[in-house]
Amino acid sequence: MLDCKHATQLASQAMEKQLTFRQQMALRFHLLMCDACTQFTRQLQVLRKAVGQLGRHIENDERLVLSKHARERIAKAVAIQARQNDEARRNPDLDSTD
Amino acid sequence: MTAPAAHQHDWLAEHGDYLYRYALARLRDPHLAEDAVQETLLAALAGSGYAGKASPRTWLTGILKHKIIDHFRRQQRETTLETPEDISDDAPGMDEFFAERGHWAEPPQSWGDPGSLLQQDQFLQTLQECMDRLPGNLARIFLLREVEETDNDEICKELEITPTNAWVMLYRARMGLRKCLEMNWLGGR
Repeated sequence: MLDCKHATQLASQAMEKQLTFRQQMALRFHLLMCDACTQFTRQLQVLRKAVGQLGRHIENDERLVLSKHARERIAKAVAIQARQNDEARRNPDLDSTD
Repeated sequence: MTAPAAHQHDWLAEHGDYLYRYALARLRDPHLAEDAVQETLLAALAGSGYAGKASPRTWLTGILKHKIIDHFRRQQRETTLETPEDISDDAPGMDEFFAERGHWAEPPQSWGDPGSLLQQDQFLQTLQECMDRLPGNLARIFLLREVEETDNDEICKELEITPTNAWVMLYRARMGLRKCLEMNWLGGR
């Protein structure tokens, strides 16, 4: 018989991959008799949905923007890199390091 | 020649905030997200250039995705070195959740209707706080799995960890999060 500790491990693994037939049967049998682990498997589903939703909230929240400081820093780094690229293009000989 | 500097500035203006939010959703740290955006734009500039097959945004997002995974991998290497004893088949460290003979120390409670739960700001906010409190390596793999929807084989490959290692960490992340939610959200209701 599966105990709760191992049942929760199987329930978590089932979120990642198909369990073997034996594992599925053992887990299903345990859940039939165990309210706590049944709640646990429901909680795993909620966690998955909620974490995905949190991620989408952030992605879609247009108030979240680069700070002025970060934007300036990035613009500067990009400008330096672009200038170096241009110079390398104009003087291909200087660019070869071997 | 093509790809004058002006294009790159446009990318920052047009896609910078979008890339920032994309990175923030996965890294959950404003500074790391800013750095990832910078690395992405520099890499876009340094590479063979935008080929015009996908939209610039899709192309840049693809680069950013790799930058984020690179970051996870570096972090993973560091933390794995710190805690090599952590990893085993039997998920040690889980004893706090289980009493004698593998029974729950504190059985999980019903969380009510999942549909309405996902509408509750307080639930989502507590979840965010609980994620922030997870050990960094657990939070990262969990985000990679659940936000990025990366499958397990890919997680193992990208993070250079074994499948056992991956599932133990995901298991721990879930155990930690649900416990934290029961204490701070359910308990505080």
